[in-house]
Amino acid sequence: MYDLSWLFERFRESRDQIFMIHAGEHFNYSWLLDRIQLRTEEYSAAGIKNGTVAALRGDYSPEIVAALLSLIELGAIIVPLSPAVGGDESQFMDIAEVDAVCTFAPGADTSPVRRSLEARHPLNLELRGRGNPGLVLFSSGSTGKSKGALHDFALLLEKFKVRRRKMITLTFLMIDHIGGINTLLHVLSNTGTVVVSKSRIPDEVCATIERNRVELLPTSPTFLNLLLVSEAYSRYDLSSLGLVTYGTEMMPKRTLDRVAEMLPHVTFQQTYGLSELGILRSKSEHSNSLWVKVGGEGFQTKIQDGTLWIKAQSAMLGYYNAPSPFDEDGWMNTGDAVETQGDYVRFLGRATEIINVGGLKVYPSEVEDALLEMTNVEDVTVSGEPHPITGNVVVARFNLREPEDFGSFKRRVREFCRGKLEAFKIPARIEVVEGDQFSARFKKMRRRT
Amino acid sequence: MKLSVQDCEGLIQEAYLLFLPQGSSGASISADTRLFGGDSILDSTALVSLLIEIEQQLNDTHHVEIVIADDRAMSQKRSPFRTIGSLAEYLAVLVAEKSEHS
Repeated sequence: MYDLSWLFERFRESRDQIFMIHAGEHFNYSWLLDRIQLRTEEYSAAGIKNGTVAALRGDYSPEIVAALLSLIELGAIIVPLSPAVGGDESQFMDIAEVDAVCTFAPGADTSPVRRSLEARHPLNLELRGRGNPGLVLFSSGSTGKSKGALHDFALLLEKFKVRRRKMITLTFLMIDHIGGINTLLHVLSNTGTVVVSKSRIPDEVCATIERNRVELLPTSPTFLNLLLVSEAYSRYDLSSLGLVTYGTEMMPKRTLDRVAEMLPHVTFQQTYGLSELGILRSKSEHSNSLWVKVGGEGFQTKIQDGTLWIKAQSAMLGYYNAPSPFDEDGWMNTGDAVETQGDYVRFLGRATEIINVGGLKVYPSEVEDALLEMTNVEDVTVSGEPHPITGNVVVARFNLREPEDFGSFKRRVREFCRGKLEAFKIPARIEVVEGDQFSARFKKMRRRT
Repeated sequence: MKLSVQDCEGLIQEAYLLFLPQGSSGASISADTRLFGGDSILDSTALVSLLIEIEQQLNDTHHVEIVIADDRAMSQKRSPFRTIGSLAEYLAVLVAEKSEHS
């Protein structure tokens, strides 16, 4: 058994506090404690113990949180799988050598189903040897092949022993995402309240914030962009909201400026983390600024060739299905291109997404930022495409608010770009697309599938 | 589907107008207008954009799918991208070949 008594002690002190509001129902910490005990007994009886690899399927619910904490206590290696995983589920389970499957869906049987698979992967064996629980996170498919990262859960939990402010928090990022897990553990360790929104569409999220007086919304720039486009913020009382954190992808400056203008009482804070390293502590210069300090206890940072490198105490043991990304001193190249100003960094984009046009670098987000200023543009993604003359060309795919003649739109784009963007950054190919260009995790997809 | 060299020239001239800097007039555009190098007013990215625009136009209005800039174009003895006229000739050949094959 892994010792979670420090956490359970906090739950006991706050037993009447609401830990989760789900589907209109309130659940307190006393309920959670009872539930954890029941689950731990059930799972033990089913043979789940230290080193058992257990999948946790489902979206946020009181039951799945209780199950998660039970599995941590039992020292299991936990593979959360949210509905956003879709068709990759069985592949992920095979990669991590999942033996027990616990499903939490409305009406589903919650008892674990065994796959009778013995863990043989050296990483699983190594962690079992430590006697610590594990957490498996898969990198999103939007950046190519999904990689499974195994974490020592004990290391991830360490930072939550420091008490911080308790807040009513809406869980937006998924439970199988480092940001989602971080949010959940942050709220629980400070005995705050987790509010679950029925869906992640702007009106539903805003209604949930209004109804439950939500104070903290951790989200993605794509969602904030949708919030602006839908104007949902104007239909609900969001006065309880004090802090919005955003991460997982590049924030367009225009989106940040406009959302800060529409919600002047809210502090906007950039977050930064990776599924391989955990979430760093961060501090934005101010609400309207994309300059941010990242680091905090347990993290060292350095910039090499314009790219951010990190060494973390809470780093994963490794990938199941890819070579180790750490150098011999434990540093990892994040692949995030940055510029610096004193202690602050500004993210420019993924180094792999930089478009090389005739030897010159184009950052997709810079072009997207400019193009988002155009009237009738709802969203745009910019990517590269090989071309025999200049090596690559810039391609812009637009979502329009209203239908517009394609010829005159292209003319408008080119006129708009002149003087605003250097010639080599102006999209050579302009397309108008139907349908969303973001994933189920509300993250922009530049790669076409 | 067949396009004469004149048809292609007209199409290129029309697309070319889209890439002229503001204020410059299209009055002096002819088959001899340089597309790239020398006294051309297009830089390399504008040339590439122009070629892509012509491809899109051909596809949209004439339903012909061709790639203008490829290894073959790049390995021609004389670059087809010198002038509007030379590109028109090259384009007419590409379109004719395409219709033979389809």
